[in-house]
Amino acid sequence: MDAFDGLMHGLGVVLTFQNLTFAFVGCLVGMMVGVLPGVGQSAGMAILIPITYSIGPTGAIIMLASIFYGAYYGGRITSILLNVPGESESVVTTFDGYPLARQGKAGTALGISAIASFVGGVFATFVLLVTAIPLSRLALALGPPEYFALLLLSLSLVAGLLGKSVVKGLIMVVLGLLLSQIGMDPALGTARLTMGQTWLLDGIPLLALIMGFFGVSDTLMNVFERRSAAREEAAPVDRLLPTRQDMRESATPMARGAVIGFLLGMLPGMAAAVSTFASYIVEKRVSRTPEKFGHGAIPGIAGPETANNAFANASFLPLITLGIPGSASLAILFGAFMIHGIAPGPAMFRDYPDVAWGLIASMIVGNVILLTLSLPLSRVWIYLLRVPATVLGAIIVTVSMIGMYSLSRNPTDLAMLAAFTLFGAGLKVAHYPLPPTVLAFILGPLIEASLRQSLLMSGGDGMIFFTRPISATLLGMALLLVLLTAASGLRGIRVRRETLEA
Amino acid sequence: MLVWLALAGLTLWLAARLSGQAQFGPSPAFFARYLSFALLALAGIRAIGLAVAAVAASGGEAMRRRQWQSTVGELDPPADEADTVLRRPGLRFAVLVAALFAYAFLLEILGFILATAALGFITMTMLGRRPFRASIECAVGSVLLWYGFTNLLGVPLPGSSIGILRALGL
Repeated sequence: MDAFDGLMHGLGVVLTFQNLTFAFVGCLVGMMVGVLPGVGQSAGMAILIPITYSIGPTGAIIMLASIFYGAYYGGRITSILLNVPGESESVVTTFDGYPLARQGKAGTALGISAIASFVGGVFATFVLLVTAIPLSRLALALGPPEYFALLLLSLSLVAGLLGKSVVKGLIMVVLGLLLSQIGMDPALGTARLTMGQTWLLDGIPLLALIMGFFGVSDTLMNVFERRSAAREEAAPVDRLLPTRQDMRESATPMARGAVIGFLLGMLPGMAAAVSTFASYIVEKRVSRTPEKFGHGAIPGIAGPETANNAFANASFLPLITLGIPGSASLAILFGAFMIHGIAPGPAMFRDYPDVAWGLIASMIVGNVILLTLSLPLSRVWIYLLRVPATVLGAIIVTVSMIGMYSLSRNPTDLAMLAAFTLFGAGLKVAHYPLPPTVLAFILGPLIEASLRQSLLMSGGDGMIFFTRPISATLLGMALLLVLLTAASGLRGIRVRRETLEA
Repeated sequence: MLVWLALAGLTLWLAARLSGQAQFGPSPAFFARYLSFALLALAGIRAIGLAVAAVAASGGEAMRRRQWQSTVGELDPPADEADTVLRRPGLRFAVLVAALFAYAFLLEILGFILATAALGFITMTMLGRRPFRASIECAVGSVLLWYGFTNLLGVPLPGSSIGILRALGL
């Protein structure tokens, strides 16, 4: 099936009443998650996975993916109207969006950002559509040593890019891989690292790890947060459609933002905030009126918002073509695929065409839904911010616990969720990045399997990874990346020390 | 730091107890062993890094405090008076975690509605909601959740195993 046939097939899958409803609900929930500060995409998706059990795999994946990219849409609304970014990638939107709103142009800012988000999302989806099949074929041609090296490179990217210390990142990767070792050995059926406990034979439930590390621990740690007594008043919203002049000013920043977002989105471990900041810096550099930036410059909203949504949709590329989730949220989606019995990766287009093509087509349909919803519902999202954090916290905690229980009906899994909540909170306090652990936990079995297959092929000789050009190059890149990140960290420490001594 | 060293030691010990060789290919323990060694090495690097940072900080901290005093005139930045912090956050956090463990062990004894109402109540009050309001919201909320999950989503949830509570429909 080529890209065009695939898209048509996907549209046929999505444009049914049932799947459209799932996409619609997912977009709504995603925007809500994006609007609410303190409720991250990961938490939002993790909490809702149990609700998708009774839905078929295609509908479930469409709904969860809609939450993922819907959150990127939602963050901009409160950034513009209240100067409150729902997610880290929306911080840039406050720079010019809020000043525009204070000047009485809140509607223009909302309109431009919605159109920019739509352009970014649709652009990335079309490039994804065109590149997915060739990349999948390439991935299917990789042997176990190359796949092992590719997975290791992805983990080094995640460990290096997420967090300030590469050593901490690598510790978290190793922790995730060790956790994935607990349970029965897949090849021989031997119990590993279980300490004789039968309840550990099935391994650690992915949802306990994800919900404990993200949804529940984030909520519980709210007790340490400082809460603002003052309530910011939302700026009034005037006309929502931008003028022709506004659109002319936004066209080139949108084009640049789309390319920046897509290129950065393909890299596993890259944070979406990097794409928005990069786009903002580029726009300021190329602008003839850089002094306007920070005071309500239209390109300062158009570029980053396009980059943001192009990033979101491009980040699906490594997941669906190589089976590598590039972020914590996509790791959760990866987990959802597995819960529904689907292995994400290059074979998905052959084995589960409805899910693979339906997912891609749903991004186009989802972006249309989001564009349609985001403008008229702006005021609704502002009201949503008035739901007390105490009520929201109780909902997150109870729904997470119910979700965990409904998966296995085993109270031990609930205790594990509680244990990971405590562990995750401790790690957050010590500034250890949690996404690398989740990614390593998910990729652990794949890494071990490809390592084993490679060693079986070579009769136990580890040189197989260095004698094959692709795996040697990928491993070299992984090593170089770790060394570069470590060197940049050391340089930072030296600069800080010199500044202090000066 | 000690946690990582202890964890690496534990996994090394557990991996050493597994059979060393498989008939074909690597043994089940080989990956866990490599990972334990890697964790040990990384924990060692981190320990060295922390030691170096501690030595540097002993000089740097004094310098920072002098700079702060000269520019601001006081050692601690004034707290924003508009903001509030919950009292005894550490204790509240401990209660919340204990409530999660308690929920795990009491869910099938008390039944879904009672256990969830209790968990919701503890969460809300520990996060700062008034108890009276929270109790009503949690009672209504847990019944609604029960209805939503069992009737709308088809997810069966446990009833109480205590006779009197079961008789009351909980």
